[in-house]
Amino acid sequence: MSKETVLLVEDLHTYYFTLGGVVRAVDGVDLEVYRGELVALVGESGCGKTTLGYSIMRLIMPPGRIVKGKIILDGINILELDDEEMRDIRWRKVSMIFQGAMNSLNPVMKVGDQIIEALLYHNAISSVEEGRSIVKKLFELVNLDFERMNSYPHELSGGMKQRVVIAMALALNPDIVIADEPTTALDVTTQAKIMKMINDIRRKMGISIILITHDLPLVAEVADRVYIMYAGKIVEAADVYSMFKEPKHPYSQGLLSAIPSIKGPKRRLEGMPGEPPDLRKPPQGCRFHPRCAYVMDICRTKEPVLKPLASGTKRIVSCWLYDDSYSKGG
Amino acid sequence: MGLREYVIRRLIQLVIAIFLFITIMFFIFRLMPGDPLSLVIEEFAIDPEARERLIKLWGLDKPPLEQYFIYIRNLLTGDLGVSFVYHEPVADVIISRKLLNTLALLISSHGMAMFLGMILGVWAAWRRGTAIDMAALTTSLILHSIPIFWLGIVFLMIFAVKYRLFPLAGTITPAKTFENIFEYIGDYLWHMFLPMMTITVIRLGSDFLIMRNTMISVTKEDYIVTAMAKGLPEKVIIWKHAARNAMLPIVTLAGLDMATVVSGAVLTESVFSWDGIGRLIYEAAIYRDFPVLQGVFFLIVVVVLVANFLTDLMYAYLDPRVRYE
Repeated sequence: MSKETVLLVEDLHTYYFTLGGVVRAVDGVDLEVYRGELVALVGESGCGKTTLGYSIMRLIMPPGRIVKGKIILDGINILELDDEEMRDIRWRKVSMIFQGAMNSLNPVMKVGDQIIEALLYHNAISSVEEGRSIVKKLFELVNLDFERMNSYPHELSGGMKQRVVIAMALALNPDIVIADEPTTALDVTTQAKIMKMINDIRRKMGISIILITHDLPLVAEVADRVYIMYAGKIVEAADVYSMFKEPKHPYSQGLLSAIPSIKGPKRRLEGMPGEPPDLRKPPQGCRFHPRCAYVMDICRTKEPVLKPLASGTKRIVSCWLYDDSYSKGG
Repeated sequence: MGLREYVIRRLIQLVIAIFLFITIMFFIFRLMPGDPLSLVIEEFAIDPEARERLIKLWGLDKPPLEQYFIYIRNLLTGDLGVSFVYHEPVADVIISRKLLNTLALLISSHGMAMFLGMILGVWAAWRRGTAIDMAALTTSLILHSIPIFWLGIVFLMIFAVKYRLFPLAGTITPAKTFENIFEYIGDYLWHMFLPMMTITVIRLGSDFLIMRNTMISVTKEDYIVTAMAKGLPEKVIIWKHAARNAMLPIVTLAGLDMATVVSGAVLTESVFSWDGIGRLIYEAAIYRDFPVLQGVFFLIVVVVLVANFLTDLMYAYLDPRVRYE
């Protein structure tokens, strides 16, 4: 696979300025996505995954705000664009499949019109007729009958709505699709079908996908690379094979040991002790230290940096256990 | 369920509701203290013979059940009795200039308040939390709490007494001859302006509040985030996606408002001596003109029920989910 970077996020900070304090939902995140790959973004609920996804779309609403950082999409830092330029980029370069696709369709509009509308306002078509033929192709791609374009959302099943939402996300042939827990609201068999479909379309169209999820078996099956996020920060990133074979960060290890397996000896499932921290007052030092089994003195005072495990590898981790400067120096 | 069955089911419910209402009204008037005759003749010494003749004439000597059937038959043929005050059939008293005056005043003011309230509500909701939204919110809360007759009197004092821009009372300049119809209409509108503004200003407060609040809850819906993510222009998101969904409660409100529209604004019409149904109710209550009161109630109920029926149809058109529930 050619390694062309489509999206580069650098030192991104997105905070919510609430009455109860500043919530540091995304606090210095770096992320890179190559063309055509599926990157999984994994973490517990409330760790900032969705905020990161919304930041990339520049859809953060008050009291939230992107405080600092760069989001470079196809060579353009979208945080420097004005509203009209950003409007043009949304959906054309980066689109989104939202969490709970059930509610992301307007209840009083026909589903076909909701897709055609996106095409119209990006001047991708010159007539509604042309839009219909594009919808027809998209519906073929997601295995929906063409007649369904005249249905209202409530007339469709959950799986069908999800297919519509996927078709809609692909309408303008974007570079990246952010899929925020695209299958959580569906039953297990539908989940598998939808996810397989997303993956097939990705290969066929050469789109990059950021899959936001906490479904680890799913990640193992479809992802090329995995980012593990904890309390607003990326703690580890690796290709899916290395990650599942040998997770480095104690938090990644904890997450992966919480998956039941039908192969191998029977064992007790290990839950992770403790709760994720309050993002208004994250703990000093490493944010994971109160829950970490390998906690050292330095972890309580100094924050570790995200850096390559060995020089020249793409495998990065943010943990004092693997930091040469610390182990050599101390 | 298709649209046709929906309409038929609603129609049947409408007829049942009207029938129930007129039955209840029959018993309420029967349960009121005193003899109906005393209402007409208490002030006059009437000789017993005339009294007997009146009882026979009004059928009050017949058994209650028979009276009930006569009552239903009269209502269905539009016979609402004779006004004690005007000595004319009640139907003629109500369906007259008075009804036209009331409709003109209330439809124009409610329509304007609703239109402005909707636009301002949508506009403020989109800028929620800003200084200008807070100012609009505070103003509308104040308007919402002002007594309508007080505002009417203030308007009269300022615009009619002090600056003499508008007339003090009535619907038309008395004893004036008009060259043509336009002059007449101009004079009528000139009289209508202050009462209309009074109702509009007061109603605007609540219409704005409702529109703003529903609009704010609608803008938190996932499909609005989707519309933004799709890169639609702001105007399209606000009007095509958000406002259409937020309009549903306002449509309900408009249906319920029909009661006020036909019964008139009793207070406003009294303050401005506007010759409408509201003032008729006020006078009928003062002079104990029970047939007129009963007739107005009947009109109000029929209009309200029909308006509710139309609201349901409107809803089915605006929200495709309704037809299937």
